[in-house]
Amino acid sequence: MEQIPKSVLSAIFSNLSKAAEKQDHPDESKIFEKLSGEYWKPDPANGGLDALKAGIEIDLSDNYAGVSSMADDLLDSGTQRCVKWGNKVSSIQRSLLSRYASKGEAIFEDKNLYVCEACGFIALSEDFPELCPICKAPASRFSRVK
Amino acid sequence: MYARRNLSLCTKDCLCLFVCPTGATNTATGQIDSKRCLDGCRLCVDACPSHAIHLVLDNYPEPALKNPELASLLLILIQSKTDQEAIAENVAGDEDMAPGARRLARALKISCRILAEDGAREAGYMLPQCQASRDLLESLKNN
Ligand code: SF4
Ligand code: SF4
Repeated sequence: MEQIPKSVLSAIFSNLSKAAEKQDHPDESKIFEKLSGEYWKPDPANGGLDALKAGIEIDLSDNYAGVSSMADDLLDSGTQRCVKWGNKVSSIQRSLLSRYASKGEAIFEDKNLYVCEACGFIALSEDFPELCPICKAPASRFSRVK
Repeated sequence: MYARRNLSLCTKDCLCLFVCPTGATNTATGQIDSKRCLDGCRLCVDACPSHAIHLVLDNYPEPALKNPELASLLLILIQSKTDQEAIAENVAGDEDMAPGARRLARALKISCRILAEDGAREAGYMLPQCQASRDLLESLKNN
């Protein structure tokens, strides 16, 4: 098997932790959560929000597109869905970073940030969204970012 | 297979208590006692007026095998999202940054992780018990 980078393993294991929890296996879920934490040793990250935005740009221009065309060829509907949501969520991420870069702290006035636990969509709004505009999850799947 | 109650949908105190042949639905915790639940009985599932009970399976079908090239592309995508997560984590922890920027970074950190996890699912690591996950754990154990 090809060598999978540690941070990727961390994401694989946190996903498996959630899958175990959904199957009602809390002990197994905790083990995967712990494994995920052990593999989360990212190299000291360079750059700030600009570097983050540059990474998102590459996802939007290249990474998702590459996955998308192969998923289309293979008629892999799960991956097509993943790309569709991922593209939308990433462009929201990018637009929040752009807004912050131009308007600064003012964009948060009277507003909170909420993240959809199902698809990663970020809302900047006064209250919990009623429905996720991307994956249609209900308000109960959102958490407020503190 | 056993029954499981969604506590936020359950309006409490009604029909599942009457139909359950073993009393598994009548517990102080509010959750159904899986040890007393009869495999596949589902009387409470059908009786619940709030659709608050479902059956948990013991076995799930093996997900379809992923094309290895597609899986590699997805791993690159996951790597990119976790790189962003690492930057976001740094910004979120940086006390010199403005509070809004740190909050935005925390949101981005969570969001990037969810996108990475979604990629992991499509790369074949859908369930802990599926073949790809077991092969992965096996290879890590041997290294
Ligand atoms: S499935 Fe049957 S045995 Fe199990 S909790 Fe429901 S009514 Fe009781
Ligand atoms: S029947 Fe449904 S709503 Fe009523 S107590 Fe049971 S789970 Fe709750």
